Amino acid sequence: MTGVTITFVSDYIINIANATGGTVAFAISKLLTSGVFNTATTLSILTGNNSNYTFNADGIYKVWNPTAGEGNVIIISGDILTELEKDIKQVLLSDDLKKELPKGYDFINLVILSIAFIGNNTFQNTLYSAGSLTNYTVIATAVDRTTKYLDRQDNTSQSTNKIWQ
Amino acid sequence: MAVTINFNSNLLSLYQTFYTARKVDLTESLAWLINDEKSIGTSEEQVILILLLANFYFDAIKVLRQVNTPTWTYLNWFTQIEYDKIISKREILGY
Repeated sequence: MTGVTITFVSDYIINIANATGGTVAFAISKLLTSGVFNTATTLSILTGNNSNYTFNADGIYKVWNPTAGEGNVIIISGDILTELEKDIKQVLLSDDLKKELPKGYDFINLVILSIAFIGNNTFQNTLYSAGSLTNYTVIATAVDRTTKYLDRQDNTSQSTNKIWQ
Repeated sequence: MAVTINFNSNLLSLYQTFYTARKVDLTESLAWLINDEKSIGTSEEQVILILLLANFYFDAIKVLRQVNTPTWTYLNWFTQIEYDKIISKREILGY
């Protein structure tokens, strides 16, 4: 965005620096899997100032400057990385991998799903383009499905846990 | 639905190295996945594939974590004892 710099403070916190020359009421909204952005949260920042914003869930977001009519796309996937870490740790430390495989088989699907967004830097912290909404929505769907998968991973058996197949 | 996927260059490099080194194992293991018998038990191919992917992600997670947190180390993920055990197992596997 022109005159605006967004940097990551952590997996869930971004810093927005406003050097546009005027106060900006940034509108921050999450893209739903329906392809519609949810109701925006507003964060007002004076010019020359900066402020942190904390996301509370994985997903793909738009940080919008309504004054300039432009915004950036932000992909948040910290929870999914944390859950991936748990699964991978279990596999790497296992002395009897076949015992882990009921979980492990779904791990393959998880990896394939996760590649759809964690490796995708085309849209990370880049200018929002309405023409890319389809791609954004695919990523939002991948995040959503992976999150649901991870929830089920903890609570259901392998035999009923095949949401991606 | 078409989607554009561009990898973090460090992640892509990591994957290319992984794929080049493990192509035969990966191909054999993935071939098993189209076998109808996949749902009736486990196989050595499945074990190999899971292990390959887990070891790939051992490296990939580091790249992904350090994007937002440059000070991240494996000790944010494992205890020292766990880390030492994993490194020992990886050495046996030829990583």
